Amino acid sequence: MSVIPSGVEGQKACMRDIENTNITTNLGRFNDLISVSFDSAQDDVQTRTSFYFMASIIISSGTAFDYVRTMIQANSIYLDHAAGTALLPQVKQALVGWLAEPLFNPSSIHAQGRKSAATLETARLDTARILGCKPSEIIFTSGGTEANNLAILGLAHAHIHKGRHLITCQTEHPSVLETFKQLEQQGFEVSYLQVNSNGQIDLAELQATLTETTTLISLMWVNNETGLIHPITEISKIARKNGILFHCDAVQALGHIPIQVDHLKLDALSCSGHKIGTPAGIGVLYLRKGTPLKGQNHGGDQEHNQRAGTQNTLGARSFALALGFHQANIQISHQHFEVLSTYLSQRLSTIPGIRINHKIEDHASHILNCSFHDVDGEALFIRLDMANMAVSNGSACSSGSQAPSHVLTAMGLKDSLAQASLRISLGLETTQSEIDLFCDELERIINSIKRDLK
Amino acid sequence: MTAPTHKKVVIAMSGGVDSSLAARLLVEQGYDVIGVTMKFWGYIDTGGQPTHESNCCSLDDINNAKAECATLGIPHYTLDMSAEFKQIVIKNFVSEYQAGRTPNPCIICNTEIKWHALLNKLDDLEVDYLATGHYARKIKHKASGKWVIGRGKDLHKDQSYVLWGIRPEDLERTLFPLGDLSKKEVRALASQADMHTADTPESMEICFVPDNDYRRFLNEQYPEMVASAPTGDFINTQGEVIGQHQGIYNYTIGQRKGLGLATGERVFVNKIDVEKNVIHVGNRAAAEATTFRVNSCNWLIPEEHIFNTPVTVQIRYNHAAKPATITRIDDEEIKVIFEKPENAITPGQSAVFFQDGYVVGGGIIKSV
Repeated sequence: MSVIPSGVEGQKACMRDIENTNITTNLGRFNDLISVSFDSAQDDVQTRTSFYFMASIIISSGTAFDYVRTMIQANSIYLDHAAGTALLPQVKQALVGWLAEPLFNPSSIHAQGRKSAATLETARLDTARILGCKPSEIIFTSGGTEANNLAILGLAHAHIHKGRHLITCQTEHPSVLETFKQLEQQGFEVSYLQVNSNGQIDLAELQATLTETTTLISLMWVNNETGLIHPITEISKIARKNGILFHCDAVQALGHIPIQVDHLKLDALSCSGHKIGTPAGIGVLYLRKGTPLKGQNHGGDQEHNQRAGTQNTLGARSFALALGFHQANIQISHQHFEVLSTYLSQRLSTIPGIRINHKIEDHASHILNCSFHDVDGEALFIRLDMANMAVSNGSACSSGSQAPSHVLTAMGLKDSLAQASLRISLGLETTQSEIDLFCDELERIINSIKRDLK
Repeated sequence: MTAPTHKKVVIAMSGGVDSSLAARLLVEQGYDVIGVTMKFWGYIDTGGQPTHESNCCSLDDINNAKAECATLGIPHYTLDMSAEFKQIVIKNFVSEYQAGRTPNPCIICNTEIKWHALLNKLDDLEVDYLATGHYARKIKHKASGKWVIGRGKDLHKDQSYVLWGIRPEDLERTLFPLGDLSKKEVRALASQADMHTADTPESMEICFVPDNDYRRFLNEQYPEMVASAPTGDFINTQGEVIGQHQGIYNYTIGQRKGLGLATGERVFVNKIDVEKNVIHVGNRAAAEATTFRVNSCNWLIPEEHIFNTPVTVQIRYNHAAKPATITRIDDEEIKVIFEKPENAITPGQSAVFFQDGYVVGGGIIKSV
């Protein structure tokens, strides 16, 4: 097998090789392909890693990401994986098969219902096994937002006899912050921890914020806008030592950090499917066995009486499958993200007026957040979109207009800088050449819209 | 229209039928069209009920615009202009009432937001034209070769009056796709195309005062301004005090209702004197005038084509332009002299100058 050229040509060559090789039936040949490529592409670590990663997906699923092909053709670049990933090929393939089988309400007591229930419980079993907990500790929800809402409202209300003081952080996801605001209206007292310019909380401040009546700490694992990693193990220890519940929004950690909930000793953990390659509409709340939770949906005893409503069986199956893939490949994917992230930050650092909004250490390597001096954030975002470059502008509000990111303003950025910010988030199928194309275009746009250059 | 292949146009979309159809027409004419909805204010900021968001700038409207763009296969973006809107349009609205004048916020919005703040943003997007769903036409002025604004074909819907503030260089890159259509035709075309905005209701009110009660708006949003506006005297044409007014911001020239005066005859607000905090009332004839001053002018054609030549002047939205001549007082101000006296010439409203039926300029009425 020949040398893999770098850049777009390399990508196309990889695709050709992959298409021309019957990988699933010829795994040995594909392994040759990888090793030969590695030998001959010593100087092109990025392409090699991406290629290797793509290969691992292909080996495990037998199909490539459909849209990788589409994107190469359409010259569009998707760097918004923290908002939503494409379907994992193996999830897609499995769903097609599952859709051919009859599927009924898993709560029905007839044979058809029982069969669906068995399917659902298998997904629960798999999910629990991968996350390192018991099946009875898994609550399937409609997604990360519902899991966060359910955990925070449900735990706060179920422990109201112990107190009404709750702790979270200013930089949490809106599904956490808005839920706490609702609890404040219901008479709870909420402390919002501040963050430093890197987005980090101060564990001493956390410790000092605890009171006799504190019942719940809710902090995210990986920040969805900046990728900052909170010290979950330490936070969990503090909570445990003080007899306080700890809920962790792990939506952006899933697939990037190995998660074994039992080791972490936390009480609740939220996950979302569409960040790891399932269709949107499935999430998981891990809830430690024996932790009282007041259900927020009414009208059914599904999910151990904690989440009423007919379950999304296909979603649950997809989640278990995707989660299994990610946890099994987390070493390779970590390497993939590290390499690309380093390359991306190098490329970005040469763009005039750019500010990388966080240290690269203590960050999940799939997310990079940057701002631009003297640039209109809305115009920048629109120009990128018009150039078929998909990134995120932090927190897009419901109408789609841009508000300065609350995460960045909490980190001390001025509104103008927080508004002119981009969140670039990498995916499994992201390649170095995509990063090159993106950075080239970004630099072109910045140069043409920078106010002080006009 | 000439072949506009690959010319990029941004269409400002409110989510109503007019701008939605305008977007469709532009696509059909071959432009590269980008839909934009500006968010001017949050419903809660203006004292409305968030559960009844049904007017301009609501999520429903933004989603309507988005949906129309999706159908047309064109991109749509929401631009948050609420800071500019509050700083310029609403601030002007409040200070004008405070000064005993009657503002037209739609005109300030057109001049300062759509054809200024938005156009500035569009520079960054490298677009060629800004289009809106106004019922107006862009026409070449023969004598000067400059673009001027013609009345929309549908005279009932004609909006040329509210567009006088567009600067000549900005009018150059403006498109009005609905100028040659009547409202009836617009609705018919929208229905034919199965557009879901085809039956959206007409919006006649000021967008941030959806209940048309500007006093309620000021009371709720600017209580400190309202509190600092003392009551004062109503004075009749004989100079007699005939009642108490409730603070001058509550009144506008020509107003008859809500004065709370039992004089036995119909009286109108003739003049608002802010310095003395008195309001002069009288019968209609007393409110008539021939001459008034205008400032903050914008000219679409060179001034030599305007001054001391016959023009017609329109002094409010529903006024039929009347013959007048205009002369310059100084760099800032001009004087308008109607051939015949006009009723209720109102400071704060716009005076728009027409030549051969085209808008050639305009300004804000300063004093009568």
